Amino acid sequence: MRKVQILLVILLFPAILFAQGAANVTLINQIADKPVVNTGDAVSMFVLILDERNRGFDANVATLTKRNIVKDEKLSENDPIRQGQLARMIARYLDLNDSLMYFLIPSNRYAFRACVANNIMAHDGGEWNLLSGGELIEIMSKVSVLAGGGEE
Amino acid sequence: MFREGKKCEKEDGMKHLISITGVVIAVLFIAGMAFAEIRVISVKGDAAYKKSGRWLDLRKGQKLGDGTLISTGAGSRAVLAVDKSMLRVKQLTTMKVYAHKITKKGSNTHVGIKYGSINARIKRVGKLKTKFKVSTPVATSSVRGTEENIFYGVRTGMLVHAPSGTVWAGNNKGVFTRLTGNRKFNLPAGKGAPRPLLWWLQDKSWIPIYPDNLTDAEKDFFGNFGGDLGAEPQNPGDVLDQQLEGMASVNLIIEWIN
Repeated sequence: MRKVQILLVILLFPAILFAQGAANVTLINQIADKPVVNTGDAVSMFVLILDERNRGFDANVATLTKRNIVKDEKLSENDPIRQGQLARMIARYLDLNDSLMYFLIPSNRYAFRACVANNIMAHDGGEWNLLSGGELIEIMSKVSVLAGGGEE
Repeated sequence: MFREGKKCEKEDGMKHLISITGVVIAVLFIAGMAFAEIRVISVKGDAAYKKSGRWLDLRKGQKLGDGTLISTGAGSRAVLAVDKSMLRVKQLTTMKVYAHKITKKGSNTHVGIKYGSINARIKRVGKLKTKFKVSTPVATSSVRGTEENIFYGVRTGMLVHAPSGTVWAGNNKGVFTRLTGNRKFNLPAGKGAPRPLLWWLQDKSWIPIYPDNLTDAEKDFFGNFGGDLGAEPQNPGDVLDQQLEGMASVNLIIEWIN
């Protein structure tokens, strides 16, 4: 019986992986259509950029914490994410310490400035601005390219 | 009498030739129609197509019809063959092949990008006139027998770059631009006119330029923190200001793009 179960898992594993691909694309397209994205959406996108599996908000935050992308801040899944909060996660991930002000004061404000300096975010916004799904996808696409994960 | 008979024979021969030519053209046309297809050449990572409202995995060798929505995930890509042309759908892109037709007049393909970027390498189908259009919510680019990179994002707008050949970009609000060489077309959403074609070179030098007498450590410092200090060593104008009363030596190698 156990052998049959193991065999089934081995046989179904590629199918599970394939299903994951379509599920990720479905999630990305759902996020892209949102007029305002929340912290849960941003965390999910980050996890996908890291080539990790999207396993729900708490597990995703744990993954980001493990990678030092999220530190002591409290994240709530349904709160709209501010541009500065996202910028801070990006600055940690891409290690944007070459911006002097962010290096000295690693706040959301200077993380946002560092992201603008690296052409990740647009200069006409601010750290308190909310993001649409389309904006989040564009930002995360640039982050992925800078991290070496995707083509420009 | 004999002459008229010969004339009739000649006319019959001509009719025969015309009908054979007609048949050959029809066969070629049907063969051409059969050739009109979109095929998946390769897939890396997460790539899917939409069918009956659901996203399904895209697989190598799969054939896609007109109006198929294709989407890629993070760090992923899909390469599609549109007849002899290649379409590389880059990461985090959603696009649709609106129309793809081959007629006896030519080949006509129209692709739409919702967001993300593609690279299109267009080749002519035989001697047919080949039209390849890529539309985004702000403008459309048109290319014939060359390569182009097209990006669309909500903040950036449409960005078109043609590494070789000529590309036209425009919309129905009066924008019409011809792109050649290393120029880039960028029309942000909500703007009436595109940015200057060499905007990405403005205020930038091709190489870092530093004032004389800087040590390597000082150059490193300027490279890392120059922007924050307001002392931008990359700005050639600043360097020129400092060099007005002195001498500057510049070694410049320019490689022209064909």
